[in-house]
Amino acid sequence: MLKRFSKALLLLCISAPAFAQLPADEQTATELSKKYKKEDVACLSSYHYFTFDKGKNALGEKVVVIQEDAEMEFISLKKFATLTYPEFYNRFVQLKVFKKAVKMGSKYITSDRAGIDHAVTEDGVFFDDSRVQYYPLRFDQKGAMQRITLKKEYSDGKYLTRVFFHMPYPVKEQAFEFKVPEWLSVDFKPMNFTGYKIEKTETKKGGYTSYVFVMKDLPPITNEFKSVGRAFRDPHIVIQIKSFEAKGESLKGFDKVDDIYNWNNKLYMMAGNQPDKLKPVLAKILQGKTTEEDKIKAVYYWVQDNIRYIAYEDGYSGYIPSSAQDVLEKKYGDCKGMANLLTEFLKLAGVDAHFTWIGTRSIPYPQSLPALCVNNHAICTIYYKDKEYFLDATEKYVPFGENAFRIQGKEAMIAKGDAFEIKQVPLTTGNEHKVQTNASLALNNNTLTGSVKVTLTGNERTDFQQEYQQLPMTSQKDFLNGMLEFGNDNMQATDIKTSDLSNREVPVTVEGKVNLDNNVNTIAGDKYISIDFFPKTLQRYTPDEKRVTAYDFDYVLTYDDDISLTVPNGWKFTDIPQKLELTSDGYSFKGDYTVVNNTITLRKTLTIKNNIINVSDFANWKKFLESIKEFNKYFLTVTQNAK
Amino acid sequence: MPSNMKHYFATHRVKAFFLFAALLVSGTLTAQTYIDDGFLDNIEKNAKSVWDEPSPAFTSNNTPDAWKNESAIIMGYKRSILFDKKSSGGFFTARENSVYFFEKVRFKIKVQDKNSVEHFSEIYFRYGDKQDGFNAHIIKPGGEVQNVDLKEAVSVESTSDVPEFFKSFFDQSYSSQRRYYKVAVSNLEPGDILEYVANTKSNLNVTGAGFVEFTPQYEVCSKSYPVAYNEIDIETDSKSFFKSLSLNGAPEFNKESTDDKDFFKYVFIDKNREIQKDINFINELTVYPVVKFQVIYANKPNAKGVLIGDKGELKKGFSREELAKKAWEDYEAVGDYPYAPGNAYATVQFVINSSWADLKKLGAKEWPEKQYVERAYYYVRHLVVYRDTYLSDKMFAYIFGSLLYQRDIQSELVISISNDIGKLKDVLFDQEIRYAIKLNNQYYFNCTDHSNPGDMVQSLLGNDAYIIYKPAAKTGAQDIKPITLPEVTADDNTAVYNIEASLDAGMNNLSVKRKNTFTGISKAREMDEAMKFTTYMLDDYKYYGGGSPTDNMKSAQADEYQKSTTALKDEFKEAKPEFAKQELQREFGHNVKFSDYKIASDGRSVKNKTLDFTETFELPDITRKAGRKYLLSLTGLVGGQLQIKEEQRDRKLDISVGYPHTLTWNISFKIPDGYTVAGLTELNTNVENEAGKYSCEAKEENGSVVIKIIKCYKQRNVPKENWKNMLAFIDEAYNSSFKYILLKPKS
Repeated sequence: MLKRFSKALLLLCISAPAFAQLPADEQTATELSKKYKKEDVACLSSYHYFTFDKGKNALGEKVVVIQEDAEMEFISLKKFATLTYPEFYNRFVQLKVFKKAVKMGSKYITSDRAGIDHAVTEDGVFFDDSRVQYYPLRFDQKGAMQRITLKKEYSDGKYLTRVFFHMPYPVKEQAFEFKVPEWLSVDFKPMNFTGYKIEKTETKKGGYTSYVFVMKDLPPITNEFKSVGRAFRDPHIVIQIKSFEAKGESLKGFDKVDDIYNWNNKLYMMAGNQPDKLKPVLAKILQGKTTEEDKIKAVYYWVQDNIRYIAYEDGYSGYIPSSAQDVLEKKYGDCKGMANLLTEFLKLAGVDAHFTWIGTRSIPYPQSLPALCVNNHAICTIYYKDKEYFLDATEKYVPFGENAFRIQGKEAMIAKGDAFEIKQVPLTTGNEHKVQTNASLALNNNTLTGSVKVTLTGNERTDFQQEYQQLPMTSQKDFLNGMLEFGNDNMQATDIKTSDLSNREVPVTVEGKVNLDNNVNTIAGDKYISIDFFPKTLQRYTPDEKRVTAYDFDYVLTYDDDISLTVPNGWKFTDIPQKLELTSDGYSFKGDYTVVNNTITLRKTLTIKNNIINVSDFANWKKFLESIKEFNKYFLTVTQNAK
Repeated sequence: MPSNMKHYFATHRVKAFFLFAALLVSGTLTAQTYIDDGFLDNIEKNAKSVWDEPSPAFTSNNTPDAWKNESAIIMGYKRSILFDKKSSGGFFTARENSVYFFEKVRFKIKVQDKNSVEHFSEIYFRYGDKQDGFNAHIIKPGGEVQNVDLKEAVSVESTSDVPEFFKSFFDQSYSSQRRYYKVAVSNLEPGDILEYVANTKSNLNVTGAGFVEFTPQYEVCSKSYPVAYNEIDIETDSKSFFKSLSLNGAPEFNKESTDDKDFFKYVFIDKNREIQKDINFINELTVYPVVKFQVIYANKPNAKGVLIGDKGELKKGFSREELAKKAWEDYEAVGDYPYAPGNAYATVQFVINSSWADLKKLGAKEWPEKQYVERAYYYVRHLVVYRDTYLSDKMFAYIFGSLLYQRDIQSELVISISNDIGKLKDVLFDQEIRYAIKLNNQYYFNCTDHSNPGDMVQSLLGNDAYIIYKPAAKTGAQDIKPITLPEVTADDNTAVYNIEASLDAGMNNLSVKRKNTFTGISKAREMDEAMKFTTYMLDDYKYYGGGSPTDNMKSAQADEYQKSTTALKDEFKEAKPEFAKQELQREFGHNVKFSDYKIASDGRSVKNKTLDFTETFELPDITRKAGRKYLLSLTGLVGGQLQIKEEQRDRKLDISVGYPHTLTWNISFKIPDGYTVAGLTELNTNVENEAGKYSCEAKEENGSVVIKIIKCYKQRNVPKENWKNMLAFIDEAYNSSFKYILLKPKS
């Protein structure tokens, strides 16, 4: 049996003294460790040198080939320290050289061992070509140093889209040098440079222009809970190969958005659709559908319900959609495959439908930036009654006319043959995505009994459907009960009724009878009761003093509670809590208790209007949360009238 | 929902770093090359023979109505494994050195909802040999059969990623890294039946091996879905032996005739098995229907040291004489084992010799016997402290027993079985035999990093055991003395929490100083967490009377050692508070502001066996308001209590508590100045029966609220008929944890 705590003991077993490091290295380590107290290892220098050449990609096209030579020197800030250094690669980005060297005295000795190689396919992807090689760097002396050197080749310059300065470890100096030949026109777009000291130099020599970007004293990347994506906040460079000359011919890269479209569209056209093969199934789907809207819905919902998300994304499979007939036959596909099938189905049904590329909200760039890092998703756009509708077949149970939050506000690149159109997916507010809770409770001895109804609209309804419909049948009842039990272990729901859960277009309602124990405290004849079941104080989102990044909730929504409690005749409520109303640009809260005879009603509304809480707003946000927490603390006092 | 398009390398460069870190932890690395077209030529053809075999249980596509609301139904699951050393198929060479395994699997499942469709959207198969075969199809509700195309199958990097129903028996038995592939199943929808057959061949080189014991199997009849039909066929040649034991109502393996007199066939069939629903206080192997079985290859019918029956016998258990003989033979062989895995140079006997030499240098020959026994135990514990893995029971007993023998102290060897598995009569595998040393009236069980001589072990409490002796040289006769291992009571295993608490001036945050004291098995269970990020290992040598590691070091080495220990202390000093805070937050389900952690007694010596440490922390925002009054749940300071949900209240299976134990909370809460307290009498309760107890006594005393809470599990095992007794005190403890006291302003 493996013991649980053996690492420390292993370290102590090292009896032979390690090769002594130079005093200067130890001094450097001491200085860095004072600055980065929680870090074990720092990078003293990280230098990436990019050179450009001409070549051909797998499609036989003339392209720019990029070579990256990099060297990173690491120093241990503690006696015992480890760092795993990974280098990622795939079919388009080959790792030609990857070496680790250990500093012995003043010299580096290169290890014979190759990096450990693994696939790194993300959850949700069935198959791709993403791989990593990594070295575990182990140090047994403060000031000990190791070095990583590597050489990578980007077989098509399109796939070097951006470089970030910050790393998961502190970096004393991060440098990116691009040696650009005269035959190449390339742009280095600075992103989020404001507020950071990044030196840029440009030197012309021997037919090349060298662009060097240097940033010093970088803290490690902070990986905080619900953090806004780093592309929104961390400085980085987007590399845009605009054009190049080959044998006197001027060849296009990604200079304008048209160039990106042409590339995307070219790969889309390679899908090899055979619409005739879709017709028999389409005829069944459209059976009995007479209006255009009915047809659109029938097709959209059929694809949502019948095509499973299974992604093959190796090499160009990551860019070229599977053919519509292939997706239909297999009944699975990735976003491109589903969007392709949906588009072809709708076209056959006479709808003005178009394949569309889009970046989800995790990507900050507009479509005007001609780079591959702008889009990471594919959907279908239709024009219906003078309006665009964005249909995302990967979003199960989303009704026609509604959009998942992850694409809202984003620009969509809509394919229209040789041309394209860019349109924005409408952004919604928290009011359109609501969790409404109505409860009517009565005090019955020391138990609260009554009924609860929860109504979900917008994305909250879709989220419910996605979770509920995917559960094993044996767990669905418990899930519905849980909706009415408010996560309170003492609540027991029975006689559950729901709206028609097979209809994704109507609000979801779940209602039933409830019985709540352990919620009434009888002390000296009085009863103390809380009916504020959904505190929603968002405590997990309270930033501490160390938090440096903005929150991104990934949703906007409104909680709307209406909870009443009726006590028996002869009893009354005393000490009614004060009402609370808070309004801010991004969020608001309103809570109020009212008493009518022997019934008290809590009406409470919390709206998250903006999914982002910026660092500059943290003080206000904390005050907001504190106030709600204080409001939620109240227990109602119920006393007998005779008292 | 993941973003779905191709990952642009540079886009995800740093994101990928974090993903990578997560993958290293979770070990879910997958895939990744397409299957070789050449394989496809053979694989489906090789599977045909399995389809062609008559299998009446797989004929029908109907499922019982009773299971219509289940997520999926396993309609049939049949595994047939042939163990063949000789040339049964006629194609081995005469000097064959391997045992071959021919494994056939047929699996048929009806997926009834989207969840099970998702689970079986990807199917896995092995292709490690040109004779391996696999074929799958789906059967639509109308009866149409659609073949699953394998041409887009991709390789799987780690066998551990292969789900239960797709892994070869041999791979489960030998954890070999075979080549597996996975493929997405086209057109699978709720209501469909998915069926596959697999046909694999594996081999194991047994040159020079006297015997090979394949991993013991525990086939729990109930699975994650109801099972209509489950069959396991084991066929062996005359070189392999089979044994099996069915427990808790599981069907038995039956011996069936074969065409070849040198082959033996054993068949297990289970039908209409529901899924298990009880989840609390369950000891799976002692209550669930389970069949244990094992195949052993032996080159001689009477291979010494093998717990087997006769050639062709379906062995279902072993007499105490057989067990004792096997246990003694195994025990005697330990001296020649490598002390650490992969290190053949340092045998256990070598370590014993050097340990005895060390102890002698320390004057062990002169120590009184009692002191020697303790120190020998601590010497073994010290060895364990500096090992990556714990010693097996058998190795511990051998080392400790040998060290006693060196001082001419005659101890006795005890064998038993874990009470998680059953009684001695249920021993089927030698891996199930547990060892201990008895000296006078004291038992010495295998040690951990923190145990003391004589400490009890939960898994052996009260079980039946034998004291076994060396067999007579001439006759082989062996003395065996049946005994029962000691039981413990709830008073032996205690956790006492003395809590001093007070509210801050804002009546919002509760300051807590909690002194925790543990004894017995309660202590043993607490030790790992309590001692985590402490440097107990640095002075562990003192317990056996040893000298500091630096005593024999040269100056430079000693400096290096000091630097190392300083670095370790510094690291732990930072890590401990965070760890303690996380543990408290988990315990209370509430934010904690952590202040201090102090160990008064680590309980690692016979002189002081009690673990005693104090935590100081604050529970913010703990009060509730009612006008100018405050409500505070002091009973909530016991932490989260077990809730038995409605669906768990009808008990079908006997109850295993693990060990009897008592938890006591002594809470002293200082009543804030200017306030009076009410609600104490409402806290008082006492529920007690033969299974356990929950009591709460609250009073006001010298300006403080004083509460004493006791929760006691009196019995280790409770029959299902007495579940109501368990519910009585468990419910009371749960309900009490929601009670508040009231603090009223005096004016």
